[in-house]
Amino acid sequence: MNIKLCISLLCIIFIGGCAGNQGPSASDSRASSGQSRTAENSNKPAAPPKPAKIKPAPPKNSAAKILLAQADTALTQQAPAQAIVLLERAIRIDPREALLWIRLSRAHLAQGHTQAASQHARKAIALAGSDAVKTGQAWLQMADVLEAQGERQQAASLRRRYARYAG
Amino acid sequence: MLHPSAQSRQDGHKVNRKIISKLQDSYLVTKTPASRKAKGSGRRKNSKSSKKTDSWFKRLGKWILRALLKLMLWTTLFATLVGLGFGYYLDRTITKTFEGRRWSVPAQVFAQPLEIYAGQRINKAQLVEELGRLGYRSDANLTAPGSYNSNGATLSTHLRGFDFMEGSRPSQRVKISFQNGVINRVQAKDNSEIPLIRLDPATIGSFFPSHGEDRLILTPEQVPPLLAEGLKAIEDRNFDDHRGFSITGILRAAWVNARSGTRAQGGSTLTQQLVKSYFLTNERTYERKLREVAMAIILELRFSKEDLLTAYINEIFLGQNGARAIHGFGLGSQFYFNKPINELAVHEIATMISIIRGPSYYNPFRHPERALARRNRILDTFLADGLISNPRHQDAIGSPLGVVSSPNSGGAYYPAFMDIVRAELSERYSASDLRSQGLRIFTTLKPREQENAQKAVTSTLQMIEKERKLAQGSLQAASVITDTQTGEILALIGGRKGRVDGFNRALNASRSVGSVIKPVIVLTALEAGLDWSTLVNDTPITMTSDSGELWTPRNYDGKTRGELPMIRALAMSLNLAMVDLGNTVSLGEVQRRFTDLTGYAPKNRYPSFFLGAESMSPLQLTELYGNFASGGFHTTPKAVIAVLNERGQALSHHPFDLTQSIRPETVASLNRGLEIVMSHGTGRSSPFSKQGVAGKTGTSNDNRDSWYAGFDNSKLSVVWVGRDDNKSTGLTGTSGALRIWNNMHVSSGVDPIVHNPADNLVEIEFATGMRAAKSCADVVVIPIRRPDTLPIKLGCGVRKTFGQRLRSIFNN
Repeated sequence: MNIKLCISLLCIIFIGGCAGNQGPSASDSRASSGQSRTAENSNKPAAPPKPAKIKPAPPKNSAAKILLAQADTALTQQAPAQAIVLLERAIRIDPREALLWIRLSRAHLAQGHTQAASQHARKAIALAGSDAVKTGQAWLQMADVLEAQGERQQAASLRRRYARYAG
Repeated sequence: MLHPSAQSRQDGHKVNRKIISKLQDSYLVTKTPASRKAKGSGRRKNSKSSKKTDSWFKRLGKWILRALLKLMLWTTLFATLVGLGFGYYLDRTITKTFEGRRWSVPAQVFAQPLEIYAGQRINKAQLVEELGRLGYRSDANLTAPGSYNSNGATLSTHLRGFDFMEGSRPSQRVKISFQNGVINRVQAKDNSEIPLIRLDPATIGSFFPSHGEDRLILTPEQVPPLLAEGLKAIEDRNFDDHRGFSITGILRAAWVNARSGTRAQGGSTLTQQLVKSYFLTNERTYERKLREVAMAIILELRFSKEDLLTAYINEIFLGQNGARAIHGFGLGSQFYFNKPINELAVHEIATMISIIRGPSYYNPFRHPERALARRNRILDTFLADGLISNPRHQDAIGSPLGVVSSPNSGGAYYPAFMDIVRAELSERYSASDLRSQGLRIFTTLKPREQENAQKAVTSTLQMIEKERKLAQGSLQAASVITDTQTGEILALIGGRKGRVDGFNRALNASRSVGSVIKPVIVLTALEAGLDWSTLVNDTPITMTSDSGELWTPRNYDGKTRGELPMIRALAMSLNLAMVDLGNTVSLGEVQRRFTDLTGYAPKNRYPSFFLGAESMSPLQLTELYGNFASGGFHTTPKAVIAVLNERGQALSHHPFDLTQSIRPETVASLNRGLEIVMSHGTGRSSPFSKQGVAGKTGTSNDNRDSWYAGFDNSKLSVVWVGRDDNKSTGLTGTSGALRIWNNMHVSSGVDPIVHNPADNLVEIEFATGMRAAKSCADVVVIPIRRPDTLPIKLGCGVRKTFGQRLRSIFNN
């Protein structure tokens, strides 16, 4: 009886320990490792080399890729309405491409439509799936939306978490 | 002032007094000279009586003359006033009508254009079909826009120019190469690569007035010169010279009518025909003719000849397409030849002109010989008048009529889809704006999907009626197909006859949904922490409502199966088990989720809601299932992308509108369950059941309604089958609606659902919910939150985990 009790206690401790380690998902762990590397680098006397920007894979669909490029141009030219039309066209062609939804969120944010921007960022997060880079960029877009909504702490927290994916 | 009659009496008295005085004078004179007395006494007597008679008649005559003059004066004055008033009325009426119609441009509605790019999944035959739908014709030289040439593995086309939302695209030649059913290259005329281009979109309708007139307005610049000159040559040779009516024409018509004894001919000018067309009457009376002439004169005085001819070209009646009256050459060209007017050949213009005289009598579909004979006479006139050269005449005479009776004549016509466009636009635009402002409305419709779905509905219902010996036409159906990610409506079927503008069942038929509602119970259960392997009781149950009414649900086959896992309860659509599950999570919670997912509260507040005793339209059910198909986002199905004014400026853009409604991992799990419904449950008879599709069938009480709601990676479809009189069809969801869905996918297949690899997938036995392995029979793969808690199916080679072994030690 005592042996069984000991085993079960050990078991509880073991499971409890496991539960305490829940937290970062695959993408999170990558994010934290990125942060720790940055911290290590900062201890070195020389200026830390700037981490290479991680670019997400472009849309596989050639048409969506072209439209995304055009939308990016429109966004840099402060023409978010035009970007929205282009991105919606691209999404009709390739509806599961998270990058398109990230940009659509950005275009809506540029127009001051924070609600739409938030939902499109969520859609991007849902579609990014196991693609850590796209997931990270989608969360960073969500951080921008949150900041626009006045949620600065949450935005900062997300930015810290996904800093590695800042494009 | 005296009354005229009193004045007259007074004048009479004065006259009488004068007569008496004269008489007295003459009497005195005769008394004095005696000789005169003897000589002329008799004559005087006669003279006296004659004078008396003359004065009376003269006076009477003068009086009558005066009265007649007064009467004429008053009559003339009155007639002038009435005439002026009537003239003013006619002027107002005809001018208002002309101005109103002249600028009354119905809104045009466009489908989604087909995108052309390397990698697009479309084969050459499908693209040719798509071009044919747009009225493109085969032409090896690609001489004009709207033509194509198929050659081996490539297809060259001369695209028409079009004003898209983002700007204009001029007409251009494009070469498209195919490989294995996919476009692999798109090139311009100079062989440079074109990364992305789109076809011009199909015109799918317009918002014409309620009396059914439809038209595509042409500007004077868009009218082909041959049409304008040909019309004058055939219908009104003196059009440029007359002032609205032609005396010679009227005399000729009168002569012909007098000889024949009937009113067989009218001598109407084009202007008169235009007036007649405005007031929609074929009444042949002289009164109407006079009114017509008067109005024609007014029009000629007020407007230029060019305005009048353009109005005529846009207005004249050219035929009937069901409930829709085809007015004007713009739409007539689409209706009879399925192409824009600027692409009509000489013989086609002549055919159109030939129809004017009698759209029914010279209907080229029904009476091709008559139409051909008249067309050739018109071509002869063209030649005689020097409008065409001899070779062109020869060429045209030798050409067939060339009318096309394709289903898309007159622009593709999808009244059911137009209903939802109208409903969406009614929130922002008035009916008069839609009928007169020349708006350009871009929609989400994909004509290929629409045609395919309509064909599947019609043919499957015919098949079912034949197999089950049901009265032909007794069954009805409706369907809505949307894009899974955007919620945009790609096709909408309102009934078995697609081109009939009638009761739209997809929007308005609210019917009990039966078991298609069950995924809402399962979703609520998954969110409450239950798992697919959670056991539920498929045992008899009787529930009592607040009013004391007893409710005893039964399974469709009348059997009970005891304890079974939730996945099996859903897949087999077991009523008793689902009621048990619903009671576990509570009716209130299930209905709260239903409200979240649809945007409205259910009407049925009783447990029978668990079994779908809730009326919904196919569109509402689409909205519900959109939450699942999109991966957890609520979207209101929408049909309009944008509205532009006639100058091409955006008036409104209708962007994607979505709201996250279900957590991603929960909806992924639910969708896996719905895939198992297809592969192992009530959907397993579908030929696509194991190809990565998710869905649920539904049958209402007494088999009144047959439902299917399902989706693959790209499309969500909801199908309903039933009867308009709400009687039993004898069909289940599987034998009715699912068969239609199957036929919708026969030609194109399905696009399998892509799963997120992070899903916590576990193999369990379908019948028991125990952990199993693929080596065991009847295994399904499904996400389970705590697989280590599952009992293990013995003999499947599943090894216990360390935790399970510890737990079994603890349990022992």
